[in-house]
Amino acid sequence: MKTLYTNPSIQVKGMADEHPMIRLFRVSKFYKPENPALFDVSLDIDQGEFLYIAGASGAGKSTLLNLLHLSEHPDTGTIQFNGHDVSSLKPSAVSVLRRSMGIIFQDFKLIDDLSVTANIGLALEVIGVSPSAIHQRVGEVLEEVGLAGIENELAGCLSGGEQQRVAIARALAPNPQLILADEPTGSLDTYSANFVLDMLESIHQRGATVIVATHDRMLMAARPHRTLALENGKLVGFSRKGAFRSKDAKLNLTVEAI
Amino acid sequence: MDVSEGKTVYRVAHILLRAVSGFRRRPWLHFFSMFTLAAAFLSFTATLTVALNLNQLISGWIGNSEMTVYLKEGTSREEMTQLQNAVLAIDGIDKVSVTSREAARAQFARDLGAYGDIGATLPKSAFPASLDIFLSDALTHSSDARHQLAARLSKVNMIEEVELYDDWFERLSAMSTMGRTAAWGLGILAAVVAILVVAATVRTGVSARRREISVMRFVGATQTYVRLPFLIEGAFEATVAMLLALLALHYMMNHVDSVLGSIMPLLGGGNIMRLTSSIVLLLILGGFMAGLIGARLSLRKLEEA
Repeated sequence: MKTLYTNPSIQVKGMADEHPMIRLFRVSKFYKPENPALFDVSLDIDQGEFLYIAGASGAGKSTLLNLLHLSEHPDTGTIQFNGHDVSSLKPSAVSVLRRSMGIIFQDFKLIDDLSVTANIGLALEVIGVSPSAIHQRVGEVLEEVGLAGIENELAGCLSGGEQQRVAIARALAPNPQLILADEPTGSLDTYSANFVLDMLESIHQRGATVIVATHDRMLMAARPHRTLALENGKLVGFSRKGAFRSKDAKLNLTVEAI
Repeated sequence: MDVSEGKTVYRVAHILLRAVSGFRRRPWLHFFSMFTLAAAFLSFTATLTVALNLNQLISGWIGNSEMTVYLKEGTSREEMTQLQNAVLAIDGIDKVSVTSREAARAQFARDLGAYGDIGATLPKSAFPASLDIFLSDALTHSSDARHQLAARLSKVNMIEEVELYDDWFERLSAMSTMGRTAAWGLGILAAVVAILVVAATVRTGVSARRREISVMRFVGATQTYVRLPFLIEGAFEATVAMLLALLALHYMMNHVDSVLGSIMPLLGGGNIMRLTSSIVLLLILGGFMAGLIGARLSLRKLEEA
């Protein structure tokens, strides 16, 4: 079993059989006391799973991803990785844990005035990969996302679809075991969106856990996976892999279980 | 390709490369910043050098003779020797040296070097025989004791005058204190300027790279990894500025030496004094620390973000 979290102080050597890869237990997040961004969410995510987090804008999808990425801490409840509570990890341990994750944003979060290599290389630099190995790995991941040969282009000069592919390449570069994608196709045309989804599928096929936050029903229908539905910060249902219909008119999803 | 196992040495190399890229991205900002720092450091190091030379000059004047007794005309060599032994026997006196008229005139000619001929034109009375009395530390630091001794000596028949140099001593001490105070003041000012300039420069770099920093955090950069390149930038900038200031001071001192080098011995101060290697090392360390503190201050906001 691959190691998700390798901080020696916690000594997590691999996913223990009795624990899911990620477990959220009664997690809530409040930005305003009267209006929770996320409320009492409990959830297990297994190693190698592909999970959609569905919901309209403001449903709490990004908050949930931020909590999983440890960019934010829950106000109540616990988040466990491989059975270990990570809600109160030290900042340095959080950084180490993040190196096992790749994150993809709707707005790509590339640095426009840096080259493609420098952008992708950031994720490798922080784990101490040698400059020559970075160049080699950047070439590999660019080929994987269909952008071989653009290593020296400035990220800001690329099209939206290309930028998202570079962002995926950056997420892939350190071989993460968990990919978090926040509306990865939100600002892309159909062709680019399909390419990005194919990429995510391919990453999943290689054994990585992929969590995609999206409000795109077409996307979920085209590539069905377990889907979690959020509404106003609350978990209103989830589906198993396959067609997903709801009693909720807005989401048009069927809640199978809560 | 397996990239799961990184090495610390490469992490360090990337940190250094990031610091270098900070200079490469904003070369003019760093150039002006270094120039400002070097000017501040130069004013400090120059004042320090002046203060050290002033101190040396004053020590030379004070240390040459702490009390001089001028003898009446006609005092014989035997009387001089007797007086010398008598004075040396007094408690608190370390040494007594006798300077005859001839020796005083010869010393005058030696001190003036090329202008020594002037001594030949002066009357005999311009070079009285004298005793230079060197006092113990206890006596040197007690004005009352020195005055009591002077009063006792002035009663001796063959003594014309006792010179205590009190006014000189006080004025020179005041000058020395002023020089030291100015050097300290400028030192503190230079340190404050260095800290503020480095903080402003680094803050500009942090603002320009805010997005990059946020991405670095997303991909797992620790706080230390993000901060170190900026700390290195600040410390390096201030250290180089200090080295430039010391280099400029070196050339300035060469010029001063060529102009004042022959005059200083006439003033009793010996050769022009330069900063010692230990002071130079301390100054470089001081520049490094000021840069580090300035950079650290500018990173406070980054930590809060």
